[in-house]
Amino acid sequence: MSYYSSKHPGLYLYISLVIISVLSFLFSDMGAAQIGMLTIFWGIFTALRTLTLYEISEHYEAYANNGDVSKNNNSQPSALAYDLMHRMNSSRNMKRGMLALSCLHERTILWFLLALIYTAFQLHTLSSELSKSALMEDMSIFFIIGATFWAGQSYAYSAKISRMLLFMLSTLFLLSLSILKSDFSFDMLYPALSQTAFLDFSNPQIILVILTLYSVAILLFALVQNNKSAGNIILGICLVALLSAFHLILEPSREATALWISGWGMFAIFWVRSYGTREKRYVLYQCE
Amino acid sequence: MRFADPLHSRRGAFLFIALFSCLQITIGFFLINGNGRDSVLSSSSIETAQLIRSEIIQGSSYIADAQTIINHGNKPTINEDTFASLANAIEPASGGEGIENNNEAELENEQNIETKKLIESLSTLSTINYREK
Repeated sequence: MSYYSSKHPGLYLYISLVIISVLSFLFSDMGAAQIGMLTIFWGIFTALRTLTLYEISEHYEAYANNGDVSKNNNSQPSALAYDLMHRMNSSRNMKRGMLALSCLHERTILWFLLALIYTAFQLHTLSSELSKSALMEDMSIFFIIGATFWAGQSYAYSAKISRMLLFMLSTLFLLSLSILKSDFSFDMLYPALSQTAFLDFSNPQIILVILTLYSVAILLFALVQNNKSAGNIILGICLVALLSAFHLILEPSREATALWISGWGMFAIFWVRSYGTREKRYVLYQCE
Repeated sequence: MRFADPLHSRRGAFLFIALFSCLQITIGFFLINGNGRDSVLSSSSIETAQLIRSEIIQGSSYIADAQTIINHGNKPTINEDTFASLANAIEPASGGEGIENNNEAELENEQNIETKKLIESLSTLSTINYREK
């Protein structure tokens, strides 16, 4: 799974894991053992993806100093062509890697901190009602959703792959919605939106509201900075608003997890594409 | 080539994600092995356990009554009301919901008749013992 031996390291594994997770939660009676199995798969995948990104970050220093190819091979015949080809290829790979590292930006780390606080708050609230095993199952489900969101950001480095991921995740999202349409209950919407609910700090949903507002604020800030990604930003804001509304009106269940996995996976693409960096291409062909 | 945002110094984030992944893998193994399975019984298991418990309690009360009658010859605790409720309880289910096979239904009816005979003989025996005293 080395970054340099594969064109898109782990991408098909990520797609397979998302499809298996969503379909399992939708169509299978998920017990503790099945959730444990999925958690192990996602844990191994996340650890491997972390190693890949770490490899990129370690190679950055050498690459930023123009690498060692030019210095070693300049004396050989056709060194210029070889050097150019090598630099173009490695530049493309390194650019993908650097865009993949956007999933570790400060704004994303803060997003995950808020999500962790929400998870811990909710588990603390439920700890008196649920057993240890049920709490571990809930924690695993939160981890699967978070891993989908984080790894989805790391793969949205090109427009082609982003479109492919969006197509797959939106299909799964619509499939989940069509199956779960009978589980929506609007009775919880009005009490949740009342003024007393927003002032009740013992309610874990307050962290979810903060998380949603933070996401919208970051996307609006990106809209001010970069108008070229306006489409991604507006779609991201609409999606996060839709997901927040679903959190309020959808009864928590195993099937609802499929909706969160596909929905937050889709949001990851819009989130990271809102800050897409654009650099000048001519620097690739500069010679020393 | 210059990159706008060099991220090579974020080793803490890498370490945190790797450790969290390892923690989740451990939790996954715990869930697979069934550790902490204190309230994960399925509803069918709970119903079966409750049914077995009620049957044991009911059976032990009958045995205690029978032993009391045989050993001491006291007045039987199976009075007419108890006998009627017992007879109603062992009546075969009507409506054809539970028994579809005719052979099985006949076999069950035979067993019920035998049980009724047993209870009748038991009550007769206890009445005789009571009169003799």
